[in-house]
Amino acid sequence: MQTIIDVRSIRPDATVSLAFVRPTLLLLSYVIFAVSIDVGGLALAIPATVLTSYLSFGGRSAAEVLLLTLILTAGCIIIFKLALNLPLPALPRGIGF
Amino acid sequence: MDVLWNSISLGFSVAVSPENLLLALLGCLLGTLIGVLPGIGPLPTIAILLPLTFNMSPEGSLIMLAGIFYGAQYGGSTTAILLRIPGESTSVVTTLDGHAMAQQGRAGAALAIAAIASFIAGCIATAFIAVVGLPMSRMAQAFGPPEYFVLLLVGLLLAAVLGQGSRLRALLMVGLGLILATIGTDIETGQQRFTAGITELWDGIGFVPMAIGLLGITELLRTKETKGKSRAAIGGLLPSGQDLRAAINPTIRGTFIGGILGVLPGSGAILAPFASYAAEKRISAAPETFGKGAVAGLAGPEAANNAAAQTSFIPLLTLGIPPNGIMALMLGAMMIQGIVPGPQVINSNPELFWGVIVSMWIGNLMLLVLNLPLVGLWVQLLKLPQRFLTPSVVVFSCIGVYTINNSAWDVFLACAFGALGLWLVRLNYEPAPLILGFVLGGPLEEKLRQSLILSRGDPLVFLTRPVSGAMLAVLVAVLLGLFVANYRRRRLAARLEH
Repeated sequence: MQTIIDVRSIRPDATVSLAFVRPTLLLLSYVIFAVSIDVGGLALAIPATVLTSYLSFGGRSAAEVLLLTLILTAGCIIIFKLALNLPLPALPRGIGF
Repeated sequence: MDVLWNSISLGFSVAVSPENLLLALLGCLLGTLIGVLPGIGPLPTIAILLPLTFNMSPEGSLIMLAGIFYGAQYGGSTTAILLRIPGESTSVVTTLDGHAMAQQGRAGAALAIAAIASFIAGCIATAFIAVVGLPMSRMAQAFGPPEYFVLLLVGLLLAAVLGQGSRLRALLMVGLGLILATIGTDIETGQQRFTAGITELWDGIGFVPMAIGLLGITELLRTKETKGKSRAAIGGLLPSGQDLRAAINPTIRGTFIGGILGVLPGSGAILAPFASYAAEKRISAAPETFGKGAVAGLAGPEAANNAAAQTSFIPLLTLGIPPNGIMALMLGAMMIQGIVPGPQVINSNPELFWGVIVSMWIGNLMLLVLNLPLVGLWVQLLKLPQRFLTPSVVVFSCIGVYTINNSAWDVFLACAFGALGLWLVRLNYEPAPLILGFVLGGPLEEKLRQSLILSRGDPLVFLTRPVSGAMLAVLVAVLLGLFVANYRRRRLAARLEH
């Protein structure tokens, strides 16, 4: 007797979890930026955001993420704060830059 | 004719200023870059870069954003030819004959033909905008609020129903955009609408957080890890005389097809290369060569996609009506700069109108000169892993959103719209019509109110005035035509199935 299997009933758990984890981590990186920018400035917000979004794409190398964080933090402070003179908090609140 | 020449010389004086030349160059380079990289299209990129335009002049901001748009058309063809990866949806057709030429060792010639065809099409289309723009905006200036309301309505509905995917879903998205546009303080009565007691919503939902969230963040959330393919041998960049002769007529035909389709609302610009390819194959003496490296199959679609990209500016610059999502972002950029979009722009901001048009000529020339020598670099960039690219885009978009009001609320809002966008996309609802509805919601409501005040509350004013009545009749005819065509198609399919 032939058994008909409805493929829609099969739940590819691995795919579901991947499709869920990556967007969640990426959205979390935006939330982390929003929460930390006023308190810690770009110096805190960018590393935290970079780390979360880096992890979302399966990055696991500490050296890689450190280098990326340094480049992006320094680059953004130089471009947005110093060159474009945007009123962004660069350092944590108490330091006042 | 004198008016046209004077206007073009004004445009040159604006476009060749060092600042605007630099912005055109930056736009072209960024556009090519995102055209090369699959997944990141011009729509999210323009959305993410919108905040950067705040400190620019209105001309400079539109020149840069326009450069991104047509630069992406060039960039998309590079990877389509070399790697068979269409960087943009408009480059899908280029993969057929362009990549076949690359496989035959003629990648350099294919890239050169694509660039030359795009350049010629861009120049002709820009000249077309310059010639058509003035009479079209003069005609539209005679419109009163009822005509303008109907024009906006027609543009909005046609953009939704002629776009890609389900028409009903696109209309629902437009409706949602219109509803979201009503959030905030009613300017006439001072009443709070749908603010739910949140003070940050008193000024309404910001366009930039919404655009970055729905387009930029959603695109990032959908991105998958892609592995770069191996680089194809490029070979000599000079096409032979025979190749050039074979490309001339398809280029001109492609320009004509793309120029016409680009003006149409909806996905005319996406259809253009497909229509050009089909036309070339139909009239070719050797249709069997198509898909195997036919020059006509490369030159025609490339010319068509670039011409369509240029002429899609016509409704935006002359009528203030965006025919697609990218033009809706351009409209948003104009509004952010304090420019009221509409047919009066050509008179109230002639330096903007003509500056942007002339910058398209210059931008096309820049792309031709820059792109061919930089082909190797663009292909190398494809190998950049997503885990490096994504954090950079996330950080730039966060800073972009935050700098609008120096408020974390905007970042939260963008994040929420990103989540909403992903949810909508997974349900097969495209967010672009929502942006169209949101951008046009304000002007639509304003013109509706003005019309009803003029007619003392009589809604028949839209039918009794000849121009608005005629436009409504055209809209009804198009919608009926689409309905009948859809009905016939379904009936035929049901009969075949039976």
